[in-house]
Amino acid sequence: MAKIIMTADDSASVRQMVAFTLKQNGYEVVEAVDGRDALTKLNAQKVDMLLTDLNMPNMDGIALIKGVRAGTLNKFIPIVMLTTESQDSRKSEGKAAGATGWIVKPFKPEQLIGVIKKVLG
Amino acid sequence: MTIAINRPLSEESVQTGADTFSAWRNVISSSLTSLRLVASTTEDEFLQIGSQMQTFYQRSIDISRMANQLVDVVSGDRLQLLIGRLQQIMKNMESYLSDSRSRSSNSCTTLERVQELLEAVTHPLQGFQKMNKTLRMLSISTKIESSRLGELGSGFVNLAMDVEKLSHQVNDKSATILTERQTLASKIVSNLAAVHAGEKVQDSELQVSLAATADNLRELIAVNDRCNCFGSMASSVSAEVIANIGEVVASQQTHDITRQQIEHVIEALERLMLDLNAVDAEARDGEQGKKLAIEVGDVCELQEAQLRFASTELYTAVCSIVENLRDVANKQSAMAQETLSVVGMADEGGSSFVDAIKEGIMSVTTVLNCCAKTDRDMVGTMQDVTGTIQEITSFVSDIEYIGSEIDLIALNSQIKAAHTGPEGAALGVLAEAIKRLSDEAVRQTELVSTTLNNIHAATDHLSTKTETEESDPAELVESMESELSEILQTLGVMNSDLFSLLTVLVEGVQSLTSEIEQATNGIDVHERIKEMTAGVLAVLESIVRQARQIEPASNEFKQNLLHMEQRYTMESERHIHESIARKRNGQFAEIVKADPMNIVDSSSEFGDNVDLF
Repeated sequence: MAKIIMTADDSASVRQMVAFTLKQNGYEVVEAVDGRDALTKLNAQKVDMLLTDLNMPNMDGIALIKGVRAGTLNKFIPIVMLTTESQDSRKSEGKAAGATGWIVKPFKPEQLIGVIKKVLG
Repeated sequence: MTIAINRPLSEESVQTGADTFSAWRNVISSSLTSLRLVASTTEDEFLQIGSQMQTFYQRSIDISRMANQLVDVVSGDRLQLLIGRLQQIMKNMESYLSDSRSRSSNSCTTLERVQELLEAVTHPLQGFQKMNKTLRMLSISTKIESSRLGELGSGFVNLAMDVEKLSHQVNDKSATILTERQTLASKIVSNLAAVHAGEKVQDSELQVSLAATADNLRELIAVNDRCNCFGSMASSVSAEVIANIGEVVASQQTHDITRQQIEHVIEALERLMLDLNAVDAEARDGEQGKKLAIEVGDVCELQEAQLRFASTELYTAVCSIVENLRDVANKQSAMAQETLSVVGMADEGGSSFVDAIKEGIMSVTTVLNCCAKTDRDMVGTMQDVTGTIQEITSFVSDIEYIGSEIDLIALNSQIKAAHTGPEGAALGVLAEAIKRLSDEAVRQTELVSTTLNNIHAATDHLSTKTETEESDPAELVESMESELSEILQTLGVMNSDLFSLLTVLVEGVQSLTSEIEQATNGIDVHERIKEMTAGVLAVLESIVRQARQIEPASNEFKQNLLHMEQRYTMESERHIHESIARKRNGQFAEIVKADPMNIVDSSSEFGDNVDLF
């Protein structure tokens, strides 16, 4: 059965690109337009992994990670940030919130797939 | 999206501080409108590019799959089977050719021997005709002598008439035999001529057929070899196309990155606008005005650099998207062309290697049919020889029987002549002559019989051999024809599959190439963004020049814009900031190149831009 991965990003073109890459590699994709939308969906649906942007309206990526880790349904899923932010302080913040990994944009599709395969085992 | 071209300020406007600040506010405000437009309205165009890219990718995969199917049609088990069958036919043809030569040689030798033997029976048969004349004369003499004797010779007349009747029969039979012999001899001559002519044709045509079959075999093996190599070529093209699409996917992210960079420029300029608005008109000519001019110069110089970088980065990324999509079209087009070559087709309208092989096989079938006909003709001739010899033998037996009858008549004549006494002495002489002739007839028939037996032996040997061998060549030809028919059928299916797949492939490639060309020609978002940002860049440059005229740049740049540095999210933004700060401090500015895909592979498993916690 295909693994389900959520992609949360306020940029429709980034969501489209991530979804395309994931589907090409056999994953099912759930899209969320911002952190709040993602958290609402994650409270209702079990997924295998979350890929989230950092800077989003309504709820940013760090708050989203904290919300997921505080929840129950997807509490232990791997969460990887996809962001333009590259500062170590921000990475530390993400790690402290419970992020599994951090990918700085722009990235190549094979990098994303490599990371997903690694964290999903 | 409408394009708002920002007009740079004229140098004349740098007259008084108040006017200059007011003019800066106006042009910065106008530039902000343009930048907000750039940041908010390009998403749809990138979404459309992404959607087209996905369609092209899917169709590219379909084309690769079709190319593989096309190659599968002429490779694998089906091709191996054809190669095996053609190899077997080659062997069979060589064996058939060798047997055919041997059979032909034997047949000719036998027929020539029969020809000689038939010549040998001519003389004894002519002897029968001479004997007939003598018997008739003896019969007449007997009649004359018996009439001279009167009552005493009356019995001899009947004997003479019997002899005459039998001599007529001998004459008729020997004439028939001579005619049959002549007919058979003519048939043998013409058959020999046909066999010799057939040999030449068979030799040359079978050699041609062998060469054609060998060519077909070579072509099939070559196709097989090419097909075996095609898999790696197709995989390599697929990998290249995936890499192209990967580049497109990565370049698409630049839109998001550029949007954020432009948003940061907007934020910086909005803050500058607040500072410009916050300073009173009276204060602008004083020290506060100078500080403000320095700030305006610093902020605008920095934002000009950030915007230029972002704009160039986006331009390069979109060019990369266009190039990669075109590359996908070119690769698919080249692969389609290569596919044609691999499967042995000149082009979609031309003929395939299958046609050439079919043609070769048809010619082989024609030659085999010709060979089979020659074989059948030879068997027919041998049967004719046997039949005719049997008929001649039957006539010779008749002559032999007639000879024994005449012998009996002669014996009766001698007995009667003895009873007649001295007056019948002449009749006795005649009877003795008849007796000698009958002995001669028996001797001649024996001679003819011996010759005929020799002919029998020769033809029996040949017909026996032909009968045993006859089934083999016929079966061989039949088996070869059956094989060739099956090969032709397989080739027919192969050809039909090839052409139907090829039509779809060529149409698919043509339509993909044309749509990619159309789509890439329609991508102008980068040109429009370049044009829009060019206006803003000109405004910012102009402001920087004016600001520096009012108050030269200070080396406190870094400290003054510390708040800005802390707001950056991207490494490139920090680099640009640092570079300008170094310049302000009299150091060389580090050039930050726009390269959206400059993802450095490092010792880390996935690259420097990836961290796993």
